[in-house]
Amino acid sequence: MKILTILMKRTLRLGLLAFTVTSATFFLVSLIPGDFFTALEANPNIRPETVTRLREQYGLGDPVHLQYVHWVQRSLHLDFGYSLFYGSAVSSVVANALSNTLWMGVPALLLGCFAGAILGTFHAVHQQRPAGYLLDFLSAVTLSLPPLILGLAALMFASGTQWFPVGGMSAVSLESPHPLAWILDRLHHIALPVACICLPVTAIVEKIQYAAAKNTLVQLHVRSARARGLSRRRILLMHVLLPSLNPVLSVFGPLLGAVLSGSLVLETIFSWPGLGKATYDALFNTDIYLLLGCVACGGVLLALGNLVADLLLFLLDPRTRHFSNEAF
Amino acid sequence: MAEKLLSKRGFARLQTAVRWMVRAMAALLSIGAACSDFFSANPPDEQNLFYFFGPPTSIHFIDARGAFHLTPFVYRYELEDPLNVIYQEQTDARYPLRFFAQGYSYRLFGFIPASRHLTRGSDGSFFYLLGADKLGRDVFARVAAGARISLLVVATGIAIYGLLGLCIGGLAGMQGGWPDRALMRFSEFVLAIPALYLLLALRALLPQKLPAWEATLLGVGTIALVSWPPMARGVRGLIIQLRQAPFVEAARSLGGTPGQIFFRHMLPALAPFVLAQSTLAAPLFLLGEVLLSFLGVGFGSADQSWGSQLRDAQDLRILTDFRWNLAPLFSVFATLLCLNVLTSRPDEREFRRTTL
Repeated sequence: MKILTILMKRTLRLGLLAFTVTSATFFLVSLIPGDFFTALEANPNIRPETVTRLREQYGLGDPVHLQYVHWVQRSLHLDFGYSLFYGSAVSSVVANALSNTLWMGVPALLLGCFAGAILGTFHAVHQQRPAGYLLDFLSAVTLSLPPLILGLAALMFASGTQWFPVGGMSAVSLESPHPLAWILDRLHHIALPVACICLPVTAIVEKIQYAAAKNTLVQLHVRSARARGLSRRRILLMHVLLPSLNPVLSVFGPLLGAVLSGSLVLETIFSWPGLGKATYDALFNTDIYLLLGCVACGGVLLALGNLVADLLLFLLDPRTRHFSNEAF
Repeated sequence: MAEKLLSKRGFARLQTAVRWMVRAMAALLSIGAACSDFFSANPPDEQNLFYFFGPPTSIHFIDARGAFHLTPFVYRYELEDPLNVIYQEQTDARYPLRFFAQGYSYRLFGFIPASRHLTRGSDGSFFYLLGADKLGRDVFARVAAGARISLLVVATGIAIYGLLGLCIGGLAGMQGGWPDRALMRFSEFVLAIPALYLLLALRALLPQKLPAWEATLLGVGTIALVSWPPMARGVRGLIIQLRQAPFVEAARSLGGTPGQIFFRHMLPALAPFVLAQSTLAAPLFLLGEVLLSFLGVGFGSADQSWGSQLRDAQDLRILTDFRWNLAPLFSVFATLLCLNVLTSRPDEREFRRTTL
């Protein structure tokens, strides 16, 4: 019951957020001089009347506030406009780009969080021992390797060994493939980009989990669990890892945003047609409706990440349930 | 010996040693950035069309006949295969390196006129320590010049970041009431937008071509504009705690104005947090600048910065054949490592980080 009201409240806030973010973007972009057709004006072979007619046709000739009102009206009917740069509806462009980005981001995020949580707990248990010092060193190095460096290194690796494709989402030779072959090909293509996102995520989560687990290890409930004669694995899983997951889950939302926007660099390196690429194209061609779609999508994803993190916290950590009314 | 090294104390010592090594690297990097022209043999933007994609010049002590020479020397390089860009050393004549030699004139630290350089090749030979890029520019000189820009970006960045966070957080915390609520709502809003998109949108607002100084400042300002919320929220939280502190109450009862209370009594107490949080944001500014330049929407400081030097690196030929062009990657890594290690205390509890 409680969880339902929380869900309702959060969904409402999500809609409000998407609206404010897109409105702000709309007016920010309207400050950029020129629109999609400005480039055509410089062309001596195109008559000024043609450009004016095109503007009228796509509603870009109206004053800014009217454009905004029209866009809001149409959005309420789930019509998000037409992308002039890609030449198709914004909703289909964004859906396409989003699915491509998620193919890369979701496995990386899940893998990174999982590996980071386990490694962080291991690190805390082994602190000031050889394995702990090794992890100290590895974590410092990995934290200093941004996706840009990893991406270029991965590209070098791929082109040097020919073990992985250097970019793109699927092999050209695959025309009407068997589903299994398609999956294998896709896995082959996402391996390197996923590794490049996964490594920094692992490093960040590991560091947070390490700090949290270090604090949990010295608490009395761990000692009492040990006194009750519970097995080492059970203590580590149920009494150390689980109670210290709170800070990890609270960075999950920001991490999702970081993965989505950090992927722009990797999308450029691996020529991956994702959300970052679409935003970039939209922004630098002043394709305003596509930009609004992308920004709204990014904002909603970030908020969704936060929502999922809070729900997980609610399910995994009984301590948060008692205060949930204030916390949400 | 090995047993001793593997013991608990040995590892702790090893860790201390590594930290000192990183500190030394940071010192080296900053010295290199400050006197980049002194260390580089060629001007960073001089194009040499006879040495495009030239490999790093190898330094010899032993010549082709096996004779040893006390002064290191280099050979002349000639383009053997123009299609695949392969250079060959011409071992017929030696060109000894000259140390502290006269070269192109520059301004040390930006204002002392000088023309001495650490090493230079003799006339008639090229000396490119890290090779040359596609226009025949000295990669080492460009990396060194880029270090100056990057460190400048980091320094001004954390200054703006700290000030912005302190102002907004201070205003919210001191005023309370509706300004507080409005500012905190606004910070949530900024946090809700993926930072890179906001950065790109703000960048698109600025004109493309700007003078270098202005462009760097504006660019750093835009990164600060998307990254201030954690700082402001932290400052506000601390101020709200401090408002109940006895010394603040005493100051208020003595008739201190809010300004006096803030600057004389709260600022010293806030300083440790502000400094720590600012240093945590340092990698953000370095990476932000590199990423924007890499994507080709940098701050217009010509193509001096590391990110813009890396733009060519998407060319597969560079990744397979001309790898010395990736040198900026290592400088980015080294700088990030220094920042990360120097700003982390061995037992750090809290970890706030904004990632791009």
